[in-house]
Amino acid sequence: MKTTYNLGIDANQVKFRVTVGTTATAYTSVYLAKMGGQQTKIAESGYDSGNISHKDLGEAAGLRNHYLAILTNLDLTNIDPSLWEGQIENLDISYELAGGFGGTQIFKQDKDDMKVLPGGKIVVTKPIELI
Amino acid sequence: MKNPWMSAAFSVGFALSTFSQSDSVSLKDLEIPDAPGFMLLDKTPTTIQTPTSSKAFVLSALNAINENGGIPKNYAVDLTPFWFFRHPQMTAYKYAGYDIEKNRQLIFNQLQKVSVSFAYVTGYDSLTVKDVSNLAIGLRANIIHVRSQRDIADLKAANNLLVDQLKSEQNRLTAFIGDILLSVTDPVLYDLKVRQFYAEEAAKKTTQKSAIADILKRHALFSVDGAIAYSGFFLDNQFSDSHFGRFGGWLTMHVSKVLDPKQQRENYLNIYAIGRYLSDGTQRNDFAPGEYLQQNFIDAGGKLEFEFRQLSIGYEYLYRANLSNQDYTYRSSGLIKYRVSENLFLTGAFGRNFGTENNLISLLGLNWGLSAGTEKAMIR
Repeated sequence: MKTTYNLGIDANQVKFRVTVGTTATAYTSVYLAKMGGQQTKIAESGYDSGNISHKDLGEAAGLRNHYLAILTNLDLTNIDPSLWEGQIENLDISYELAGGFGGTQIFKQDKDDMKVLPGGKIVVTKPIELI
Repeated sequence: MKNPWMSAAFSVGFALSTFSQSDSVSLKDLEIPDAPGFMLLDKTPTTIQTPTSSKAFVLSALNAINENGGIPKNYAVDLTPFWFFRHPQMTAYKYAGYDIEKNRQLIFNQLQKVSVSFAYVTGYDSLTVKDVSNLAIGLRANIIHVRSQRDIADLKAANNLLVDQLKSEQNRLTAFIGDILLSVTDPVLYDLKVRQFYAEEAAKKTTQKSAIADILKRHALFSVDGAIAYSGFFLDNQFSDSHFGRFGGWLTMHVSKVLDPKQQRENYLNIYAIGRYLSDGTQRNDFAPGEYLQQNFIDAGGKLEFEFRQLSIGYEYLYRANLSNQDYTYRSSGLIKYRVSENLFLTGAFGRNFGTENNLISLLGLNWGLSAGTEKAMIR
């Protein structure tokens, strides 16, 4: 589900953070994309978790009319398959944006952002429109 | 989820939980019961619900109420609340009991996965010739869990490999889809493309199975498990006619050393130390008709076990004190277990049982589907 974030005045410095609350192994990457234009990976998680700590996105002027597309791939095979369904229900991803007109805003993943795939795999795609 | 195997396991495993000197012996008697609440009941629940999510729990409770037209007369549930809730700060490393930022083990981490067993079973009490409703609740937890440095190193390596795989998979996925904003412009096509990509990946078998689950299943270097349980009963469906049933407490320490020189993690030397307490208020008082006698027992002992790939050989000693009549006894026996297949075990034991009469343990039997730690075979 598309979400929007109001950047406010051009000089605002915008920050971003992702927290993936799950027992599963996760990898997250963030793309800055323009409709019909360039798509650039601007951040990714490391080996520790699927989290991305505070990332400076820059001034609002350079972000307006772009999208942040956040992709998280998860693998549930570290737990018993009988527990997968419950872990899919209880997956908790927070996308935090700060510095814009709305101050700090935390968005969560929606059901239609999640693709549950065979073999304990999940792909979560969260697009956030920056206006 | 209904689990008839679990129900069967508890029904055969109950005999010793009452500390009676019966003609049978549980082969893993030193271990803490999986669901201690059920162990204190005289009558075993016919089915045991083991829901793994809040949704499954609500559904199982509603089904039980629906099937029984109200509160079920025979209901038992064994659950781990940890799996019912969201954990916003959880990561795969924290789940494994490791703080990767501080590079240290979270040895009490498993406490959050405490399991709760609850049972309500109605029946007939031959002592008082009245209907009886039994209620039992138990808690069980792994209190301390320490992994070996080798296991931690293996865990990190397996985690890094899996993250690399996920990263590579995601890069191929974005290349396959082409436009990442397809999820905005055409969500249906995006969904189709994601599923098509993973179907093709599965056909090509591009990713290898992660070793993390197997590493997490390895024996801890040192662990402490504990459990407590309480049961009570009501006669003739009268709340005012309530009685204490039983109270039990278990504490087990386990040290495990890998014997396999090739580090295949299938051969271990296991040393267990156990202490347990049971207060039993369900026995007839011969000197006061209609009343119940309370007896208190303490067990203390240990077990030494060599565990190989399919075979385990062990010796256990258990000292028992009946605190009510100052009676002391012990059990000393050798145990052998051979796994014929995943769910089929050949088990045997020989030694001295509790008490002074008819106390020879000599048994050999086949068990299947009951790897929950409550296997039992009859004495021959």
